[in-house]
Amino acid sequence: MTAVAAQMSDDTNDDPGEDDIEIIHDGRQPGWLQDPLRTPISAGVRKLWDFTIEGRENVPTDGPVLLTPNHLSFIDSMFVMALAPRRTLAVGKGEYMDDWKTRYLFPAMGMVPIDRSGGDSTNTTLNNVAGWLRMGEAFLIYPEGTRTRDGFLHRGRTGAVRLALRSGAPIVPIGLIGTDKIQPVDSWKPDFGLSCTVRFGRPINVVRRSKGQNNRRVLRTITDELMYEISELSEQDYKDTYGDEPVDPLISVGDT
Amino acid sequence: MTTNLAHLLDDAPADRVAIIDGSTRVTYAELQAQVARTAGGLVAAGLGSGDRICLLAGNEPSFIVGLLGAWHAGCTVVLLNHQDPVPQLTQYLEAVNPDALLCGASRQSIGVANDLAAAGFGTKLVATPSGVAGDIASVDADPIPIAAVEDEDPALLIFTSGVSGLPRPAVLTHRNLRATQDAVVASDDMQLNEGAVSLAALPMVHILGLNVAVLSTLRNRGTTVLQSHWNAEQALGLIDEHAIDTLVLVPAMWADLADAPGASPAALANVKLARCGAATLTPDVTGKVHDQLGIELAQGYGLTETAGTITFEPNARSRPGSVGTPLDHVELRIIDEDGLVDAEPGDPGEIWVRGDCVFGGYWGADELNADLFTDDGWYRTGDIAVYDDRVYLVGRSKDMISVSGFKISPVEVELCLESHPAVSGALVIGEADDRTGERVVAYVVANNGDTVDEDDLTDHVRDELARYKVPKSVWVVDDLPANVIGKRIRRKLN
Repeated sequence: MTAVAAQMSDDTNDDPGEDDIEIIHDGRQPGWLQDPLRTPISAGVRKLWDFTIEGRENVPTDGPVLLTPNHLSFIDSMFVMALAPRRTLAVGKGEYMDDWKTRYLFPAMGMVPIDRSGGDSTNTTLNNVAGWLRMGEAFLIYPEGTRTRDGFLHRGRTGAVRLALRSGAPIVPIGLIGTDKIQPVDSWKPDFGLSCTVRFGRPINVVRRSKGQNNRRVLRTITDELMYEISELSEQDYKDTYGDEPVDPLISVGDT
Repeated sequence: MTTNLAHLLDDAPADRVAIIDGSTRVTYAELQAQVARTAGGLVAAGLGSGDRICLLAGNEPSFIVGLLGAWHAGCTVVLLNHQDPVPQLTQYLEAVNPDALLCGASRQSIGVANDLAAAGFGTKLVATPSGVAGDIASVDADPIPIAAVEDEDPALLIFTSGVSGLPRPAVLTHRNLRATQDAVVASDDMQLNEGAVSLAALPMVHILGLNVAVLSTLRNRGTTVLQSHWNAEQALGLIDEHAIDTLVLVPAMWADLADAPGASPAALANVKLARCGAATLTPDVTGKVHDQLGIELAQGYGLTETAGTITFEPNARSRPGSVGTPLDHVELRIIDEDGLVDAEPGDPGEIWVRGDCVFGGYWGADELNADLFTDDGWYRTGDIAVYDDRVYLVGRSKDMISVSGFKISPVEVELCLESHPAVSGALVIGEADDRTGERVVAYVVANNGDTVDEDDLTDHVRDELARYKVPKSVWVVDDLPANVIGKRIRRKLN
């Protein structure tokens, strides 16, 4: 499963307009299987790995919220979604919908499929995600847009802040430590029994921070603030450049 | 050949008034004659093409006569601020080693020139330009034709403002200065109409006061009203008396003008171009000027190294922080920190510029100059900006503070501090920190009668800005270091 990267579009004049949400997929809402499975999955991952979890109470239990971790490993999404105190959605490649193995499972577990062809499809996805947030959902987004290859926390893309402004959602910064040891970037399976830390930070009220402005400079300023909070939580050194790998404007390379 | 900048007076309407200084009026014909006689005098004294003439003068007609006269003779002019202390001037003169000193008519200019001559400079000649009657000889002889020069010949050695480093003499060629003048005159946004009447209150030793305000007005056959020392009330009187329609001032002057007795929209009803530059323009100032003077301020951005203005924002109030879009005479890029790619819109990067207005380097600094330019001719300005449909300045690269790798513009923190009611001014710098690399330190001046509480002030910043931008310490001081045009100088706090 993948997550929205931040540099979604150069167009900052987001017209909230009509949200183009696919409320129903195959007769069911994305993430419908998370609720019944979160408790056993959460218990399962806690048995398989040695977790230190801090600040879980910082995640609002209802209303829209964006969860924004640093990105070290393919397994990050599963950990955050399993350990967050509520159902959490994330975007995933539209190609998953063409494969019978993932077509039903991934949306059921919280994936909102997106079209990566760019242009209007990017805006459609933005509208879709903003729509789910306005419906009161939690959404997982990696501000770096890609897993770190050098261990540094990299400059954030501004999409999370843009979505927060559109939807009124607060952003909860999350620091992950040690998931890169559990499943390194080039590894196809995780190692069990290792320890890792998940820290949920205090929510940032983006609407208040923006003081009613919505331009690229404000998006950059608040995104930098978000990355600072993530760096404090993840204990990573910060490098003020984008991640090494070129990223699709919409998707992280969490599964490439 | 019309390459020599002295040709800017060619074919000017003879009877039109070029300069007003108190009760003195100098027509274009008179100015041309004085300039040609000054040039004649310089040549008669054995000076000419390639010689460096140091000009020491305030905002007085003899400044303009001396400058154009030296160019007319083919010389390069070294501009120094006659108000600087003699030891500092001596240091500058040692750097550029001029062949002669020309001083203005004021007692102060003459006094300084004599002091410097006594210190061993200007041994060939110490004199005033033609037309000055005083206790020092004038260079004054029969007119000569304007000397032929090349576009790339140095016209001006002008010291940078020294905001983020020691002042350095930038070499501006005839081409550089003319390119900016042409762009200013041609800009529709600037509305510098032919025959404009302009107040020269900014020091002419500053590039904005010289090339953008005075020389561009002369090029456009306008009238320059000189003010030797800034006084807002007097400026209002001059604006009224001479129907001044063009005002180029720095933000502090605009604030003064708005607060001056008699300031009103009616008093400035003639003003068509109200321009600001050379320092950060805050919404407080644009708002005050709008409310109290009925004027929409325009804002420009430029450097000594670009002979003045390169971007222009016609309405600074509606776009706070914007310095507008590039003028036609310059190419501008904003380059990401790695120096390899253009920064994405909204991301800060260094301003690179290229064009006829861009200087070739600093005097006597070959090694430094080699690092200033890319192989394909882009000048790395050292200024950090964001492009977001328009250019927004962030700060000087050298001034940026890095806390745990996160870059902080001191200007952002200073504006936040100054928005506190107890603070009248603030300067912010970075100091070394073992844990975070640097930490933010603030120096503030309290408003008259107010007491600044450090905790209250840091709470105020914490409420407005990210945690890492909050000053770790705040020092309350009586005043803050500034340069000749009132621009604050952080370097002097380091």
